[in-house]
Amino acid sequence: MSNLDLQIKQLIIDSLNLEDITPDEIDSDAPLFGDGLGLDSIDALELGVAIKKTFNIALTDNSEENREHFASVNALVALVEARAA
Amino acid sequence: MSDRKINETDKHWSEVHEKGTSLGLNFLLYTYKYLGRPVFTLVVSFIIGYFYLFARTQRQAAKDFQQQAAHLRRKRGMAEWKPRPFRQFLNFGLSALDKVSAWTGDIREKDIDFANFEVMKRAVNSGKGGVILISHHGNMEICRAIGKEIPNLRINAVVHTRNAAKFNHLMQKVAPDSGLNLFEVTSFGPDTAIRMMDKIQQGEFIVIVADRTSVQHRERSVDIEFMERVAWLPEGPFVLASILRCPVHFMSCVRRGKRFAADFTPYREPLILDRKNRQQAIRTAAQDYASWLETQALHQPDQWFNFFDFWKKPEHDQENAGKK
Repeated sequence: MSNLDLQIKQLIIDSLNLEDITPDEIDSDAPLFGDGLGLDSIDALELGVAIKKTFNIALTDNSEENREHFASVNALVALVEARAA
Repeated sequence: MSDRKINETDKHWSEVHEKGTSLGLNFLLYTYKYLGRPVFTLVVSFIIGYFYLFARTQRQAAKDFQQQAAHLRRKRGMAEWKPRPFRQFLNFGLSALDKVSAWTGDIREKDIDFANFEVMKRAVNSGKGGVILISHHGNMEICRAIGKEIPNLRINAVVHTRNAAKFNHLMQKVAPDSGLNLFEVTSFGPDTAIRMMDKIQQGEFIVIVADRTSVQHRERSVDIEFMERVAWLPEGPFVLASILRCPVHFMSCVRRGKRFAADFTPYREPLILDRKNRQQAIRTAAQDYASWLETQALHQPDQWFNFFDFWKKPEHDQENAGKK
């Protein structure tokens, strides 16, 4: 597990108050929304805010685009790596 | 769209054209400016009378609302209320004048009986910022008059772009120095949320209208009880208030004779919507607001400026029905 991977998992847990889940219980490949972790659109918004603030990356309101970025932990890692200043 | 003619009463509020809003606002402004309030009132009465006669849907909605208010006041032992649908129309017209008077500074802080003025002052001066939920009951713009008394008060009113342009244009005309900031929201996502958070961090307030369901996302509505009948409120304002993690307040302002009465009620600091039970948590918050609004509306039923069936379930229109 890379450092960034762990950091993002911890961020998901902290920003959404998922107290009963640990980072290694989150599969980096699994979908975050719907079937996988079962997050909803409000979670997406909270997570988007947290990611944007923590990594200081540009993230628009475009929900189609964000859906791809937020597909899985791996997708988020890729996003942060690509856009981090 | 089927060839069935859509009944006017079936329409969502956004599809019912607000006939009074766009009509000759300039004409009214000039009438007020050069001929004074009595002439203005007369002109407005004629115009409103015309709409009252011909706007069947809105008239029916006002009648229905007035009757329900009268019924509830009787039931709750409040003073007898005679249903006044026309008065509700007329007050809407006259409220335009009050808005102008507030912008131009003709209505002052001393004209407002402010129940929780000290509470609001503390909230503003705390520097924590916050969300203020308002409605189409009464005339919130009157509260601009208190701006001078609380110099730290910075208001960002959340609006749709389409109306903002119109409003900005008008504001430029009547009150070029007004400090009010219109916060345009066309889509809502992380970017907008963070822009709002920045405002709040600077101690500013985000004002959101919480009594009309969303135009684009009618499925994002939550059922609550209002005046003992099921009604729907938008989820958005409550979700937003919770995401911003800041103090949340309810606020209103109504006309009482020649004076105004304002109220500022702190609600939660912050509003937390438990994610395991989120839908219920949103409903609880929306119901709390609806109950507060109901109390306000029952005291002054003729300043209810929602001229559509408030108890109608918002349904998806054809276009968005499949996209949910």
